[in-house]
Amino acid sequence: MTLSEIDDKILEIEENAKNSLAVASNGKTVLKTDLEYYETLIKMKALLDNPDVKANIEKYQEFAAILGIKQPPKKRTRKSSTPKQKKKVATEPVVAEEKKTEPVVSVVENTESVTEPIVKATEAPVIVPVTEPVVAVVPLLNPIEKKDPLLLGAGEPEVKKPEPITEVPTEAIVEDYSYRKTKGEIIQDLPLYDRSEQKFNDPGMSAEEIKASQEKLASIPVMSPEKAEAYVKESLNIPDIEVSSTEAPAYKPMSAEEIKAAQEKLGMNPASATPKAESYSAMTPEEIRAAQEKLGTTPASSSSESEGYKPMSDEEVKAAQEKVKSTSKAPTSEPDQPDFMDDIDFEPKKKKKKVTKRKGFFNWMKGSVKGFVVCKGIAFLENNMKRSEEFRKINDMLLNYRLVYKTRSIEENKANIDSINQTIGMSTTLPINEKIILLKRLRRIIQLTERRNKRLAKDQAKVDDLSAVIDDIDSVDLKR
Amino acid sequence: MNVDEVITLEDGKEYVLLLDSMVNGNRYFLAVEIINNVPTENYELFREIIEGAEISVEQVEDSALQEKLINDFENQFEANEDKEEQ
Repeated sequence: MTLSEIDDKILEIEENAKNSLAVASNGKTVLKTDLEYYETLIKMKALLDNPDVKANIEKYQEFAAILGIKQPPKKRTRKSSTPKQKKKVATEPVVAEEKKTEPVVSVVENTESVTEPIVKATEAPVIVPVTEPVVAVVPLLNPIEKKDPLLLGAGEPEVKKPEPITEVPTEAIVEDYSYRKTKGEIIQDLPLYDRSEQKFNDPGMSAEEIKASQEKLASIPVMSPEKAEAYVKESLNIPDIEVSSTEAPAYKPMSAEEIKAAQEKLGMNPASATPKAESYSAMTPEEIRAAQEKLGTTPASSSSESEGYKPMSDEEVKAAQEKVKSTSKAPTSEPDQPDFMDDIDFEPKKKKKKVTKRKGFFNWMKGSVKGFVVCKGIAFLENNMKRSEEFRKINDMLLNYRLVYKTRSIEENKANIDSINQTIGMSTTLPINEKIILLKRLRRIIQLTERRNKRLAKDQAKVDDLSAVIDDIDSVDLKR
Repeated sequence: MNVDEVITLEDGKEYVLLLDSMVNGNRYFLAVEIINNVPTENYELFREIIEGAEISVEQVEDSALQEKLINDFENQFEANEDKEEQ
């Protein structure tokens, strides 16, 4: 590095130092970058020194405790020896490194004497960042210039008196400030009566509002139950209901006398009640009989065993079943009515049936006869399954068609197929699976019909050929 | 038991075995009850049970199996029908 270069650097550093200083509202010289924060601290200090504010802080702390708002942790005392690096002040230590031989002055900010930067001469470039704020972190208005190393020329801190700061904190700062603060900190800062003082601390409520809510809330924890009841009653307009403990005794079963008294009170006739009704107890057979007699039923008709339940023996069960069967099968005046007893199987149905005899082949049932029977059988079994009524109807139509199509004309078959197809197509209640089965069957009968039609056409062609031959023969004969 | 055979069950009813089908190793029959050698409208699906020399049948009650058997018998019938027509 040449001498001129060194001179340039020195000048540059000095210039930077000059530019980095500013005069605060109290006339003190501070770094430009710290100015906003410094101003804030000054204002907050003034606020906190206010005895009214102090009193309100205490109140708000109580209020916060009632609301369950966590109080901010106790402020840590700052040690200048181990400051927390909150702000990156010096980012280019290259300059200092180059001037190792020259004493370098660094600015150390002391929280206890914020207003006056301590100027220390050290051999090595020591960059001490500005420490954490005491009360809150306030964002800087002007971003820190990277070129500003905060290093002053050794021994000659030529401080140019800067112009007084006229900048007023913007709303953005206020918002940002509130945002960065904890709930507890904001509450602590709340008691501000002077609107002008709320520039940094206003969380949204005016001083009047805060005071009013404070007064209102102050009464809540000390409200007695009586007071609370009165308040609720007053608020909800609940009429006074005298509830005496004698009128609402704890539940206990009523005695017979009490029941009687209550019945009389209600207009009931307690005399009509049997003495037994006063308290329930299982009736004896004699009592039951007496009651039956009283009710008009015939106790004589009931068997003596009805007095107490006794399971029936197997013989008795069988006899009873036979009795029921015989009585149910007796002819009735309406023989067409289905007898539900017929559906009841008293004996479990034997699923497995032994084949006792096997005859030879049933030879006569072959060909079309068997086809007819099988076709019918498939349709019957299909209908016996869980199918809809509409399915059964169309299935029967298909079966009937199938059984007779060979004997019908082409036109008739066509009309029948169209009719079935239309019925299936028009149906809205047919489940899709049933529709598929029916369409499959319809396709089959169309296929069979077409095959038959082709065969008929072939036969017709043969007939035509034969008749042509006959005609030829006839014509030959005529010529002869 | 074979197709076209007439069997008599222990309750005295006679059936003609119309078609057969094998499902899961079991043999099933489509049978029609006959009275005096005349087919009735009483059709059954039987499962053949062979226990030594004794043969018995059991009615098919499972609806899924019923559906499967009906479908198979229908296909068989149609195939026979086509064969006969050709």
